[in-house]
Amino acid sequence: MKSCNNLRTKSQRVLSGLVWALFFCLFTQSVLAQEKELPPLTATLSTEQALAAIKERAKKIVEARKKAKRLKISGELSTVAAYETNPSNGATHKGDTYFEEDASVTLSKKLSNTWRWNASYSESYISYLEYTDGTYFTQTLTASKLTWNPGKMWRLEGWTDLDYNWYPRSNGSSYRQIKPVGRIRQNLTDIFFHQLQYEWFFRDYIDKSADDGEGTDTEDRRHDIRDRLRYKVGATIHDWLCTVENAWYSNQSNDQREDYYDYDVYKVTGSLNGDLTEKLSVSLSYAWERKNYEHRLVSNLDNARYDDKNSITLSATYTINDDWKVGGKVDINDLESNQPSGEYTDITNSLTVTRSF
Amino acid sequence: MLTFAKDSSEMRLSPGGAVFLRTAFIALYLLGCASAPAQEDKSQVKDPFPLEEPWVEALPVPYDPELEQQIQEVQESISTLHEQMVRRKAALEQALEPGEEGRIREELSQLKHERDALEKMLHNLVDEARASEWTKIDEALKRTRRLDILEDRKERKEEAVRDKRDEELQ
Repeated sequence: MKSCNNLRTKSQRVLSGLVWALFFCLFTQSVLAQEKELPPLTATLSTEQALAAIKERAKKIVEARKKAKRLKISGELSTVAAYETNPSNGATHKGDTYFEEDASVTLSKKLSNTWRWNASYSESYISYLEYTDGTYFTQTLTASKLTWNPGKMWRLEGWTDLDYNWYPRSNGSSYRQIKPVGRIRQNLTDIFFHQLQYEWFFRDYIDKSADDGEGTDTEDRRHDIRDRLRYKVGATIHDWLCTVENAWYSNQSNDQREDYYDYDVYKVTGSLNGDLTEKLSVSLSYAWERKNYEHRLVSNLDNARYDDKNSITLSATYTINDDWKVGGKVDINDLESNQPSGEYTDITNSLTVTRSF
Repeated sequence: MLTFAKDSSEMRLSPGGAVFLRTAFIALYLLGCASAPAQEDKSQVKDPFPLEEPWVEALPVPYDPELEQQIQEVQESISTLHEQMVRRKAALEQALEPGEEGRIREELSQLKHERDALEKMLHNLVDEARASEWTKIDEALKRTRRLDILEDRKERKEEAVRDKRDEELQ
């Protein structure tokens, strides 16, 4: 009897424990389910408030998309101070300081999702302190540049540059030039691309007559025609741009004196551009150019002249803010030739301050 | 709970043990019923306010940086509307007075109408971004454009100086 009573007591205890456990489980589950429910409507925005804010935002976006298709104007002003070790490219290195003022303005308009139109004008005035023959003024007008960007892979551009170079102290070097350009680029992947560019120049020397080959000036002004083909391959690696460009061009002139200005050029340029910090960008390039003159003879020899030019450029630009930039550049040019009198070395150090608007 | 026969070769369930096991099975059954998901009634009418998740897909980077920002704003607006619709749908599943249910349904209808309009706008903006997609290559070449112009100007200047010098030497 006693054992039965004990057993009954134990069973009751077990049973009651189980009942409590069951109750606890059910209670916990109901509490957890309540926490998953959303808060009551009174804690949220009213429909009118939410809709009004969203409609206002959508209206502003539609207006902004219309504004994006309007004509945009931008421009830059720069001032440069530089020292050049050999501005006359002569055998005796006589250095000189020059100052340069640059100005440019660009108009751009989005014609459609894939077509854009640009027009730009730029001018530059360089004045030397002592080598005044080198002082010149240049203007470039690009009346119409069309760009077609269909999607991600192809880029097609075409434009015409009208240039005017004026040497006030050396009028024979002044010329005006028309240069239509066509360029096509293919982005092969997100990193690699290649690009082909063709240019045709017609250069008219406004104050220089063409020689008839006998040493006599003709009534025609000297004019040169040039074809240039440029092929560039490149890659963007960790936001750095690495490119190699090959350029071939041929210059033909109506000046018959020894066909002095008829030559073929091959140039290869390698460059590396990127950002060292958020505000500091750097650029390094090396170029080798071979110019083969068709008939210009080397002094005292029957060989046609050729020139080999090596150029290294190192530049750094610091972005102060959205409007101001300051930059420094070093240009090293070394020309070697089978015409020793034509050889020279020239190093230019420059400092530039640019204001964008 | 378990008692052993005298020869310990046989185990029998004691009365208390049987009660315990019965109670445990009942408890487990009740717990299973409480946590089982409600089965969908396939005979229900099609939901007039479907709650699709907001569009989540890698978007192209457009030429115009403002367009990228505007796409994000529209996506945020759609997400806000989606959240508002989720709350109201949850409220509808609770027992409500007829007047309140009607009001919530009307709000849901307004929200759905606005959401559809925004989704149409988002599709148009994304199509515009895709058509004018801007790549890292484009950005890198744009930054070097000024250097190309300066290099061209330098070449013309050098050419003029060399020609003049060669003529003087001739």
